[in-house]
Amino acid sequence: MASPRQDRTVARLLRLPPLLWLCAFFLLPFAITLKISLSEPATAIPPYFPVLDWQGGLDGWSSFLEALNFTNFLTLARDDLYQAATLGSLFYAGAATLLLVALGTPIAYALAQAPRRWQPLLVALVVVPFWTSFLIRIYAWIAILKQEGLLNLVLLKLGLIAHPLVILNTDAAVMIGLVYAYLPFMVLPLYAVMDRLDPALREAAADLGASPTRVFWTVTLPLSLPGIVAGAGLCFIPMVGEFVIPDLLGGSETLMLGRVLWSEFFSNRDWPLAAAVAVLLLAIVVGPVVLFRDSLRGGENRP
Amino acid sequence: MTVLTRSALILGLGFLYAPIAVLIVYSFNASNLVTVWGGLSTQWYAALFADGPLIAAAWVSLRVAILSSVIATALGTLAALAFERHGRFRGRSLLTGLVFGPMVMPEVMIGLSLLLMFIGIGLDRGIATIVIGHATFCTGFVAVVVSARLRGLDRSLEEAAADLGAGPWRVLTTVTLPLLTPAILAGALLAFTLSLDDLVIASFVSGPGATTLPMRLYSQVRLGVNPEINAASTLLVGLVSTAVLGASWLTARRTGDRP
Amino acid sequence: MASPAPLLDIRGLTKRFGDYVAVDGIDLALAAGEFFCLLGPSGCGKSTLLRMIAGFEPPSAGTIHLAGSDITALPPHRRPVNMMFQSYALFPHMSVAANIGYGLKGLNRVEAGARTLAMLRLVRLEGFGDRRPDTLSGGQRQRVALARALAREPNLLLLDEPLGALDRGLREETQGELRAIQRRLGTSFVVVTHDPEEAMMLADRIGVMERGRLVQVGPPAELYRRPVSRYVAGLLGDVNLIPGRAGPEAGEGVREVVTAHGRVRASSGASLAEGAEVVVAVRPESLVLGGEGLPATVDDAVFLGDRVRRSLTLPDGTVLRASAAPAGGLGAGGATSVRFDPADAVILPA
Repeated sequence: MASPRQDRTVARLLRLPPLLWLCAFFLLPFAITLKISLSEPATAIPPYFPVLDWQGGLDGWSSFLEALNFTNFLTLARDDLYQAATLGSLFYAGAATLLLVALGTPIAYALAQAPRRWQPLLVALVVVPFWTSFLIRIYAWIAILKQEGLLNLVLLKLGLIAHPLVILNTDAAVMIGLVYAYLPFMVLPLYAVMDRLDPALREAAADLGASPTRVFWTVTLPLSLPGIVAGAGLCFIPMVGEFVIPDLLGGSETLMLGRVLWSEFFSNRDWPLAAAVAVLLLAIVVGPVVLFRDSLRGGENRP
Repeated sequence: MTVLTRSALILGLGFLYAPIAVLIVYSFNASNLVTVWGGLSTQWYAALFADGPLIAAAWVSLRVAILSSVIATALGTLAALAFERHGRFRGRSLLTGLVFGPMVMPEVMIGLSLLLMFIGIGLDRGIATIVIGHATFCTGFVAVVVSARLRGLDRSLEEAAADLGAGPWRVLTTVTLPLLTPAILAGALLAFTLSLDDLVIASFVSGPGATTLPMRLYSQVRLGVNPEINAASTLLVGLVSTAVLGASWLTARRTGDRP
Repeated sequence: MASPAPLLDIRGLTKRFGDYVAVDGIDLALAAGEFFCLLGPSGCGKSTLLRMIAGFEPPSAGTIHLAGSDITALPPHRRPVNMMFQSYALFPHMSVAANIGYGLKGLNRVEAGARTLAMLRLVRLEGFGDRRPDTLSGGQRQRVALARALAREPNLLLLDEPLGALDRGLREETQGELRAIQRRLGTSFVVVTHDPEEAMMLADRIGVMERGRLVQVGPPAELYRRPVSRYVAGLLGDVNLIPGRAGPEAGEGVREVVTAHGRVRASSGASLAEGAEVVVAVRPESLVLGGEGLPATVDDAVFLGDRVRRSLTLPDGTVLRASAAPAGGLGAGGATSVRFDPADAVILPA
């Protein structure tokens, strides 16, 4: 028989590798990013100052700490570009989340109402796009939305418009892309909650004289709220830092933090500022993550 | 089902699949214009297989995906076992945050901070650094899948093994892990596809000579719609759906759960 | 039993799920103020029948009339019928009062509030209005569900295994309460149950269902004493079945049955051809020991306080159970004879 001590040793051995790996490649990088965000850009390699002199002992640390500054964060706070990017990220992510709730709720409801034997297939159909390349799914929208694209072609043929609409590289295209890419993340947790609702509750409401509309608003929807919250969290948090969608579908004026970080880093090579943007992004995301922690756990059981 | 719910389903699924369908259809279009149907043709597939850099990028992606999914599967399974079978321990909430943090943190953040660290410690960037990045953010996904299965596992099976004299190590290797195999495979597959799909982290942490398929596709996509990419996308979609359907069939057969 | 204009009138009601016939051509009429029980094992179609009356399942064929008007095609929320669910289906996100008031949308706030209070009083839950359903005990939840279903003052209340989720002691207490509330309000109740004792305790009339069909409808005593089949006889209580062949008529409603050990007389309900294989069904308390009857051996006797239960064997091995007041000795192990009054025995198809 296993002794408790033996048990504990096994347990410790089990959790040590993931703990070490993630400390090294997730926690430590963040600490370094935080540090660099408090540095000045320099035309050196690495292109920032100060560099911590690991061999310098206590003196090295104190001179390092003295040289730290908050210039990058002041820049972020003062510069219109970063304000616009922050607001843009929040706006696009927030508006897309609302749209996703509005679109995802009827779809999840319809899934939950579908005949039992069809549900596994229908759920799989919602999941499969999530598995196919994100980049490719966004790229597909370029062919649809561009001026000589499929959507304009169809609208022109139907006589609904006289001239091609400009959709690609606008806010509308970004919204379409965000809603499209994140729809499964809204539908699945919502469906999971709606599927677990006791059908007798809806029947009881109908039995008490409530019309299907009233049943939906007074029983189904309030009881599905945990799913809506989980879905909204799962969508909003990654959308705030989204890069590919605004980059491929948005215009030059589509400002989101993920995109600004990318161009600060790759185009302007201003690493400290990019790091400061990353820290800002973290600050924005951390609130919702903590807030949604429990409901995100509920939504974890996606396929 | 009412007319309303039925149309919600049809419209929703149509919205999800229309762009993918457009890609597939136009990958067989002889014309290189989206709006013009020039007849059926497989020329873009031929062009695809003659595209040396693209093929090279695909190989890089494949190697990265295999290596990183193996690491992420090992780490994620261990983390799941720690969460579900060893209850409370010191540093549990730290480990929870570390495992699930990378799932919700924006990719640009993970990519940038990893890169800054690699430069800081003077690590040469290349396939290895991409593998590290992917393994880090995939671990949480594997842990979620394996945890879900562990929670559903009848605890008394492990207790019976212990009762019959098996030590913790033997219980783990002869009872727990074999029962978890479908979930571990599903987690590995998820990690594999996520790695294959990632653009942002790879772009940050890759070095010269280590261009992944999404990086290559992205640089071409920025130049506009390209029928060759349609062909590449169609192949990828076909590959992934086959893998997903195969995996769900496998798990359904093994566990008797619904797919 | 039913008055000229029944409250509920069901004709030829049928429900098919694919090839499976859940409810098969049921005709049933219910009088106003009646307490009716649908009795049968699970899967016999009783819940499906109830759900068709409530409007949750569209019938495959047949009609449902309520108080003279055809409600077959009405959706549940338009039917003046209410249902108490087996799981109670209390809305977990609403207070007890909001649950009870949910169906009172047509009333103004003052009226609705007064009605809710009256309902709380009816089920003895005054002061529980602000509580959430999940803070209540099982019995309290059951009463909230009853109050909610009664709040709209339906003329017909459907109850799906209303006491199924309660433990034994509480169930007996609640049976009496349910009956008292039904008497006071004069509402017609249709209760679905699989518990024969409960059905007999509650109902004015019982309808026994078997594989989608209503095999017998009548007051509890009639079903107990004059079952139409072995199934009904066995469902309503312990019964002895003595095999034999139908013999000639022997008076009004009585005929002879030829058993392996001689002729007996019993009441005959259905018309049976002479020579047909039958069984004579006799309740244990109707078997009398001694005198002129079938030869039997007493194998065992158990003293149960108010009665003595004896186990007997006929020479051909048929086992009988007899139950009698504990007069005299137990008399185990002896040869005896067993007989019964033809009025207390009924001939059933084998």
